[in-house]
Formats: sequence, structure tokens, C-alpha cells
Amino acid sequence: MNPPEFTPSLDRYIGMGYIVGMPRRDAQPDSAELVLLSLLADGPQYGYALTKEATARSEGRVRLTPGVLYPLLKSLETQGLVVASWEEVKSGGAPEDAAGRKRKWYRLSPKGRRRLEQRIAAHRAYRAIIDAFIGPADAGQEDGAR
Amino acid sequence: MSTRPLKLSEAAAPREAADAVASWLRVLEPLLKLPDRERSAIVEELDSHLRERIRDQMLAGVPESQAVRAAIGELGDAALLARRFRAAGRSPLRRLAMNTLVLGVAGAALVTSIVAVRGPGVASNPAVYQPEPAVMKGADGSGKQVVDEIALQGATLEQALMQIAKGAGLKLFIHRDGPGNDGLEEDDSVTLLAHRASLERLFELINEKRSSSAKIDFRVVGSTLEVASRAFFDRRDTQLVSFDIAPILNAGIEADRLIEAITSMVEMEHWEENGGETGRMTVVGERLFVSAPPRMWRQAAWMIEQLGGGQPGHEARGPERAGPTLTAQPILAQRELPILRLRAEKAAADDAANLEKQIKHLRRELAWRKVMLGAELTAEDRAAMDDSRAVKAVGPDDPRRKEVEAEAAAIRLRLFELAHTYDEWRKKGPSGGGEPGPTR
Repeated sequence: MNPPEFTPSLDRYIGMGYIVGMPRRDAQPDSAELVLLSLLADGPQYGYALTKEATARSEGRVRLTPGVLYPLLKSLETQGLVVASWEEVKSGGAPEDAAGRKRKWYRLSPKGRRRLEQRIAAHRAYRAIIDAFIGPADAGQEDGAR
Repeated sequence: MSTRPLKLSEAAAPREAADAVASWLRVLEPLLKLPDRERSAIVEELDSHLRERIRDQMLAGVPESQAVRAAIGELGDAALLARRFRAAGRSPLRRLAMNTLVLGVAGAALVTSIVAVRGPGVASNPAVYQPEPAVMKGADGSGKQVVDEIALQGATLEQALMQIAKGAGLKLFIHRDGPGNDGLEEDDSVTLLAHRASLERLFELINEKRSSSAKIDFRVVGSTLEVASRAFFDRRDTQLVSFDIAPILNAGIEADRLIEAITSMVEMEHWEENGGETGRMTVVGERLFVSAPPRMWRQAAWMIEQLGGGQPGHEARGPERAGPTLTAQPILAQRELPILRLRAEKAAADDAANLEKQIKHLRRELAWRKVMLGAELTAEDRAAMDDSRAVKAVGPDDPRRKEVEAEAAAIRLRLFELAHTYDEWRKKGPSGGGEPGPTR
């Protein structure tokens, strides 16, 4: 399934990470950080793979655009939440001695894992508070089905 | 095979894509203003990302040129991206230290200004920004037109606007941005009972119940009442202004911090830095360029003034200006730089002919700047230089060199944006856009 296309009027914002159908601010930067840490909790990844994984796992509803992703990864690295390493990638058919391009891999550090746990707890607590007013998501769906 | 440092000649990357990516990264790299090692790591990572993205899109059947544009477009504005990288490189402790510094200097400036105005020993009040009215008046100072009687119950917005225009003795013209996009189609009814109310007041009443994205605004031009979404007027009123921020930079406040302070205090949700749609800022040398409607840049100007920007140091260089007021100057009146004639909004380009003209113009200006910088000219540059003029070469030691380089970089970026807009326009065709005429 193709992701939703940007309309020309949104061209100027295509660098921004956002959640489709939600106000733009909801996806920045805290939500993006939570999404990113969660993805890295499953194992080391590199930037482009993270964008694809976020889109795939959310069925196209979360877009980690590179304009947000890479500065955020750098910020996480600066804070010691992720650890980066480089890998040289050679394309098929390239000569043995040809220099490949580099790919930067990120993995969650112990500090990053602790941050993720804190963020998940905070997110769940927030959701529970709001659910007290609007009811949990399941209840809403049941109501709608009736 | 290539000797270029960006290593873009890998077999998997098509030539055109490699060139476009390399060009874009060459624009980005100097904007990063980070240590060499960090800069090259970022460039290398983005290079890898772009090539994978382009390759994937091409495998999905997207033509190469389109895939290149889309991939680069996803990274957004290079200056903004560079700023994000710089901000990301600061540790939280350093950010805290910088916040403290900004607050300290702002506080000192505030105290100084209050003491200067009131004299020592006089009880001081904080400096207060006087905001523009929520609904702006007409360009001719109108908006004060009075509607004698208006009594509407459950009317549609269009009916209400017609009544208001009629009551004020004006013709109504509604600008529509497009279905669901202009706030003029919000499904609510208008109930108004007013006696001798000004247009300003009537629009305030209409806006009270509307969501922030659906606020409408008006202008009175001659005998016409123009009505549109506030976003529409924001786009139309957007000006590019510049400020001398040398005193602020000299006080040790980094440009990024200044921008962060402004974007977190002034109409926060409307800056591009925060995902907004209306204003954008960038710093070149010791000048802050702001593209925003007056209601936004005037608040930014006030903050800059509070921080010590626009003090006599700048005044001395601006003999045409009088009084210790803001240093904001509309660029059009200030400089001849053609890129600055362009509105920040892509919407300013009305049609393909206009776009082609702008692109040609920018190519010509870029070529002349390359001449000034002593850079090698391509065949395209030579073709673009279809006028004759005498320019002064700026050598490596010339103080103006950095400024000319920054101008050239800005023109390159704008060229890239316009080329993208032009492609979009061609895809959509002339019937894809266009504004409707007056409703009545």
C-alpha cells in the first residue's frame, strides 16, 4: 500500500515527522522519540530502515521523515541513549577493492532502555488519565458497533 | 572512480541522482556549521539514506528525476535541517546553560531599557508588547466602518458576510483556498444581533466560535470587503524582513538560541520550526531574516529589541532610518537581491510563465554571483547571463565574500524549490489551481 501522498500545499513541511490524521504537534518531538526508542528496542537499525519500519508497523499512519529522524538520532546519540557504529556496504557487482558507502547503525544503550521504560510508563499513565474521561478505546469501539 | 569526497559514484546510484544528491549535500554541508568530523558523518549518512530512498522508489516504478526530487524534498529545507542538527548536537546541560544566558541577557536588556526610560529610582514596569488586534483592519485604515443594524439567526456564513458587506456599503469578495482548506466552509450557523457595530467587532464575534484553524479575516480595499481565511491573508501579507543581530551575537547568544526563543514565545504554532505554516527564519552572518506576516515579525522584532538587537550600533549603519526603533526593514526597499523579491510562499508563483521567469531570473543572478566569487561557470550559467553588467569581484579576503556566498546558497535553494513547484504545476496543469472570482 502506498503511503498517502503529500499535497503541494504541504511541500514545505515534508521534512516534518507527523502522524497522519492527527494534529502535527502530536508527533513532535516526544512521540517521535518514543517511536524511535521502541523500534530500536527490537535490535540495531540504520536510519532508512527505521523510516520503513515505522511506516510498516503503523500501516502508514506514522511517518518518520528524514528531516526529523536524523537530527533526532543525533540528539539521542548526544544524550547517550543510543550508540552508533558504521558499516561499509558494497553494492552487488562492485569490484573487491572499490570503496563502498557507509551505513550508520544505531542500537539502544542501557540508558536508552531506561529512558524507553520511563517514556512508556508516562505514556500509559497519561492514556489512563484521559481514558478515565472518555473510556478505553475498546469500550468506544463496542459502543460504536452497537 | 570519482575523486569527490561524497562517494556518490557507486554503481547502484544512477548518474543523474548522484549529481543531484551531491549538489544538495554540498548546499547543506556548509550550513551545518559543525566540526568537520560530525559534518562529514551527517553528510555520509544522508547520502546513504537518499540513495537508498531513490533506488527504492525507482524500483517501484517512479521515474528517476521524480524519485530524486521526492527523496531530497523529504529532507525539507536545508537551512532548517542544518539548524535541527546543530540543536541536536547540544547536550541538555549546554542547552540549559544557553537558556540561562539568554534569560540573563534578556533580563539585563530589560532592566537597562526600563531604567533608561524611567530613570533610576522610579518604580519599573515590565516592557509589554502591544499586540496587533486579533482581526486586522483594512489597508486603508478601515475596519472601522460601522454596520447600523444586523440581525441574523442561524444564517450561513456566506449569508452573514453578504449582510455585513451590504450593511457597510461594500461589495463582497470571498477568497477561497479550496474545499475544506479555507475555514469558510465550517459547518456552523451564524447568529448576530448588533447595533452600530464596527466590521472589526463583527468579525471578532464571528470568530469567537470558530476553531483556530478556521478563523476568518477581512480587508477593506476601496469599496470592496475582502474575506478569506486568516491563513490566506497571512500568505498574502507575508514580508521578508531582516534584523541586525550583531549586538546579540556579540553578547554570546548563539543565533540558534535566538531563533528558539522567538519560536517558543511568539505565535509558537505558526513557525515552520514548530511544524507551523506561516513564518520562517534564518540567520546569515549577523543578520536574521524573517519571512512572516507583520503580526508575527513585529513581535519577533520586539523580542530582538529586548535582547539588545537594533541598538545604535546598527543605527549608525542605517542613516536613512531615524529613531531608536526596530531595525526591521522590508528587503524590497533595502536591497536589489532578486531572490528576496520572491514571496516565501510557493503560492506566490501564479502560473508556469511566472515560474519560468523567476527560475530564469534566479539562474541569471546565481551566475553573476559565481562571477563575483570567481567560480567556474558552466554552459548553463553562461546561457543564463543574458544581460550585461559590471560586478565587483570579491576575493578570499573581501569582507563581502561570505555575504555573497550566502546569497548564492540561498538562490540555489530557492531554485531547487521553484523547480519542484514547477514540476508539480506541470503535473497538475493549469486547471489544477487558480482562484475563483468574486462570489457576488
